[in-house]
Amino acid sequence: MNRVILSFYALLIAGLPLAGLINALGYSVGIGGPLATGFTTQYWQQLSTETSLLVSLAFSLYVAISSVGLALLIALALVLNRQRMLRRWPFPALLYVPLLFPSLVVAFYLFQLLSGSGWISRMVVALGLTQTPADFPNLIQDGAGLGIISAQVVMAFPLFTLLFDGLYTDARLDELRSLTRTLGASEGQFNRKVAAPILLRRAAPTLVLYAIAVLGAYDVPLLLGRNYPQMLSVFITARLQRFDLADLPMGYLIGFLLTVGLMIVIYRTTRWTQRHAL
Amino acid sequence: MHTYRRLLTNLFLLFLTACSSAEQRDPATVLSQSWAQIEARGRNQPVTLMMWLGDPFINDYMNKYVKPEVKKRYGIDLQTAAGQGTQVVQTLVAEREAGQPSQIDMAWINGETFYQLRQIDGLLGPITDKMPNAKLIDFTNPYIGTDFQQPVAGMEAPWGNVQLAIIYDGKTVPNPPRSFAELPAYVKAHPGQLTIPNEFTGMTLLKSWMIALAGNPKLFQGKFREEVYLKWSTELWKQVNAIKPYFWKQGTTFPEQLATLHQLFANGEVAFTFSDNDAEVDNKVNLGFFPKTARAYVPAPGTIRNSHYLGIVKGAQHPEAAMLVVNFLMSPEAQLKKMDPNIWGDHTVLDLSRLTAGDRSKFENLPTRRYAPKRAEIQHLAFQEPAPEYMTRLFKDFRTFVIEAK
Repeated sequence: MNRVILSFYALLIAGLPLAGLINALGYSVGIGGPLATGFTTQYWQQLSTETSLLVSLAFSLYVAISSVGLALLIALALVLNRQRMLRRWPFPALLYVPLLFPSLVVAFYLFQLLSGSGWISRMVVALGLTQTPADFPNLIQDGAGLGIISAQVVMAFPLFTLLFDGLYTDARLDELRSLTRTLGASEGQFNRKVAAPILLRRAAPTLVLYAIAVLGAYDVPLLLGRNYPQMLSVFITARLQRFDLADLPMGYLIGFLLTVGLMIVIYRTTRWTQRHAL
Repeated sequence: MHTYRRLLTNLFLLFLTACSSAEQRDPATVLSQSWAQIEARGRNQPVTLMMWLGDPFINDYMNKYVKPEVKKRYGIDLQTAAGQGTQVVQTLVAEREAGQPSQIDMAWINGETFYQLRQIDGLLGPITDKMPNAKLIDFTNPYIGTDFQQPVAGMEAPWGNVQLAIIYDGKTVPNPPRSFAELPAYVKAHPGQLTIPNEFTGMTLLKSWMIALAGNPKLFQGKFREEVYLKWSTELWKQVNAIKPYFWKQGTTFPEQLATLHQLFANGEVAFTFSDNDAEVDNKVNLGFFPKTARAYVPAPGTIRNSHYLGIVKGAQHPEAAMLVVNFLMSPEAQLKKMDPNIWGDHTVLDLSRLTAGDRSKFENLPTRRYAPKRAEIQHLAFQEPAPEYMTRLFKDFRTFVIEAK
């Protein structure tokens, strides 16, 4: 009985994604896909000419690191400096609100709020601070990815706050705080040298997984991002949905490499956190 | 406990074998049937149509009119599934690689998808010679019988005929550029009002602009010609890049979807949008989505006119029922309903001279377009759709030479 359940579980968790990965590899070497003509390494060789891919990878890393970095700074500040506020109604309930919305809804909300013809822009025009909506600064579909980062931070910081708050209680940091204060450490020293390292190390696997999810996010960068540079998932999807079927192998190759790369990152992070567990 | 275990094992096996339980149909046998046999076999079957579901008017036409009608006439349970272009092609390829009959029976396609489906031999046909209502269509009309310079040859059934139109807001744009030649100067004088969507309609605009620049539409007829493309696309990128800083957001980004551009237009952030359907402005104004001051026109010397089609999938499980649906969609009743600007506003593919006097009169007495140009007025402003390679190349090069250019 357990074996049946285990097989079913393995098929869902590992088998199907692995089959997809093998399929993508098959496309990338010309043995799968609508126009496959037999084994070839031409797409792998062409990879070095894909400069847009490198730009896309760098932009995605920048967005993922910035979003997760900002969100965790906000969450750490709240958990370490605003413990009382976190326990006072309605703050705990409000923290759950952004978590209730799908990412596309958050992206659309920010689009309506921050676009050139959005609510803030119209208010600014009505107040006479700008002449036309076009004078409003580019906060979405901007070169620095501010719109994408804002959306990701709005969705991530409540989750991180709840996570850190749980870990704070588990690690009995309040008691440690009293102890370090008794030993003469300042509030800032306790936060920097004791609490933050403990929370970050314990939360590391979740933070890395979240960063990977941001790296692979599709709907937020599609709505709030530019055509160039594009985040990886938008870049790959565009390749897979182009009008030219001959583009499919390269799209699958990039998707394959990205998946393998992220699997290695997850594996290494898991090993690292196991070795340095607190 | 044993019963529970057996149930779980059976469920697991059912999951594994579910995909292979569908019926595989032989295309030759399907096509060898007479129309009477097709009618008999197609009744009371389900049909899945994969189509673009991005327009509420089109969805209403399908849900409130077509589905009840085919149910009433043939007992067919018509289901629509979202998907277009390469999604259709990739679904069919995946099903074929898995050795499965298709979950899709028919699809709404146009030239570039037709080209791809022919590349993978994904269409059942010829089918139109079987269908009584196809006799009401003039297949010698180059805008109907030829799709992206490929002969239709009965492999897809014409459904509607449209032409690219520029939509503008008459309130903010009292004098829009009346030709492609006037467009660059206009954009320079009115920065931020215009942008090009980086998708199908945007590419149709670029193709029309390129043909206008060349000055001879015949250069783009027939098979793809590399030298023609290189010469005129280079000219096109020169013009586009010269005015790029004057586009919306200084040309630093372009909308990835037409719906996004429509939204920007509706919000007043840009003053122009585009449509592959010359009559779309009417239904968007009627819907209250576009302002009442929105108008559409075709710039000189013209824009691309083409037809959109319905194809039946080669591995369809219910090809006869799909043929009944296609035949109904080409019927005077269904075409008349579809052409009404208050319903969809999609121009008919029927040759009115082949209709009965009663049917013809109904078409001639349809409510007129209020905000879109009359078909008679733009009759001389139409280009044939060039071969599909022009589209694939323009799409790639627009990214390389415009979007990613410094």
